[in-house]
Amino acid sequence: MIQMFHVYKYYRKDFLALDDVNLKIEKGEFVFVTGSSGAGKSTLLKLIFCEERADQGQILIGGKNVSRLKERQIPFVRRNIGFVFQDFKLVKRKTVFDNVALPLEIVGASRTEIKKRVHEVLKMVRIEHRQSQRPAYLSGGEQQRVAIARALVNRPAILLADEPTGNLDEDLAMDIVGLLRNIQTAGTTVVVATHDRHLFEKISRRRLILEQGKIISDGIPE
Amino acid sequence: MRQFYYHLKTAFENIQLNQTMGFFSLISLGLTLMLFGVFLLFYENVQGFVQSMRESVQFSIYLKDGANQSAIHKLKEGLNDDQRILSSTYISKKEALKIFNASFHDKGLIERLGENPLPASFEVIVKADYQEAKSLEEIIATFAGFSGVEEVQYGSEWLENLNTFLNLLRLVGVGIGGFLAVTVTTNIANTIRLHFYNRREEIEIMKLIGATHGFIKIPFFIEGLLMGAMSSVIAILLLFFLFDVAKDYLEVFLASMGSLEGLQFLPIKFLLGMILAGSALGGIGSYISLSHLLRLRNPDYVTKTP
Repeated sequence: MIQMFHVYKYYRKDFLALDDVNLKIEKGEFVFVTGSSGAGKSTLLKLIFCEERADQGQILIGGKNVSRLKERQIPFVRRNIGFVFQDFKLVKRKTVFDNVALPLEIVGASRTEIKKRVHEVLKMVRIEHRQSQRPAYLSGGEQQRVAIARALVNRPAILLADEPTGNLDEDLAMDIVGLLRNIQTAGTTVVVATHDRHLFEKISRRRLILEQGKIISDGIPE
Repeated sequence: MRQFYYHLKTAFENIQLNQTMGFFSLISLGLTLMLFGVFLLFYENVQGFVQSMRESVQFSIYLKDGANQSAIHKLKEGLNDDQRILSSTYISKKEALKIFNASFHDKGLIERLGENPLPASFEVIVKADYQEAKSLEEIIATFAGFSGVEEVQYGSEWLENLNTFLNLLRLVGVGIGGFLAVTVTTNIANTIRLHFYNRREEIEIMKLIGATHGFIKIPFFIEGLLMGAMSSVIAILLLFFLFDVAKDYLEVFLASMGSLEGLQFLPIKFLLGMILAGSALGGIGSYISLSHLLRLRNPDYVTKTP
């Protein structure tokens, strides 16, 4: 589903954020990307999401080479990838329902379809009762659920989550991870970037460890 | 259709979101467009006045003293059959004398000459469509060739001046129109730019979840069209109010100058034209603004202040 071949990414000329990264993530896999701050976790996710472009190397998403895509083709790649941002990135003036409906509005789904799918995902992340509220009136955990719902509403093949539990207490964090595992069980490839030890120590899943932009370990811890 | 509803809704939300700024923009745009309306109103009324003056434009065909009845008859028929002629009146030598006597106090002047020196003539009024100098010259050439015709006279200089004045007015109109169009377009472009900055976080999110530039642009484009149309409506209302207040005073003034023509407000096709032109300028303004803004890399417009 996701493949990287000798990928390099520089920020300015002197800072190497990713250094010769090679990886392969299968369809329906659940992968943690870990490492200290500045190790390159977010950059790796941003490259998959085409928010950043690789300076060298090739990136294949679902068999399609996205490393040399034209600017105008990027939105169409993103429609097949759900992204859960650390700071949620919810539109403040829109309700929970309208925030979750946005990806469907973008693809021109019908009103009936939008209602059906939004209710479905809101129910899945257990936030249906807050659908008429604006994000400012929700707790951090609730906002994260809305962000996950929005990432899932288009039924993407890949779900990327950048520090999805960064602002949450341990119980809420485990709740969110449980949600992500359920999503993976349904067939979606899930990649979670986190530096939260509790998270990946409690759950036995494939773990990629990054250090100074290099993958130093890749496997399922015992 | 579904997406159009979404874009329209977003455009109205944009206007609502920036109510205060939008209100002042609309007033400023309305006043700018009203200036053009004032010019149009002036032009339209001057043209109406000129038209009525033109309708009284006539030329005289003076006949030779010895012209026989059949020549006069042929000339009369020629005038009646000519599609370019609105009307013609025959004035005999006797009638010419009567008119002369009625106009001059010294009634003995002609009598002292012994005989009536005034020629018989046809007073001819030409249809409005043929009143420019070239057509008039052609008409006059036609009738100067008739048998029994001594001379044809018309006030060509006056008509030329009238045409020159109208042409000049048109030129001034294009100049003022062009200048105001640039002002309106720039104003709308700037307003849209500010609205865009106000929503830059939302736009950034939209791009991240797969919105194309077109999808982001459309509501702003619609907003520009709506702003242009709304400012034109404001301009028309202001213009109508101004016209209503000034009309009576102006008509008294014009009557004292000898004009019998009443002042007219702009015809409906002009008003619709103003609304369409306002929308078009709004569309152009937002298009210019958006093409520039969306070309910027994200951090540029996120960190740059308007």
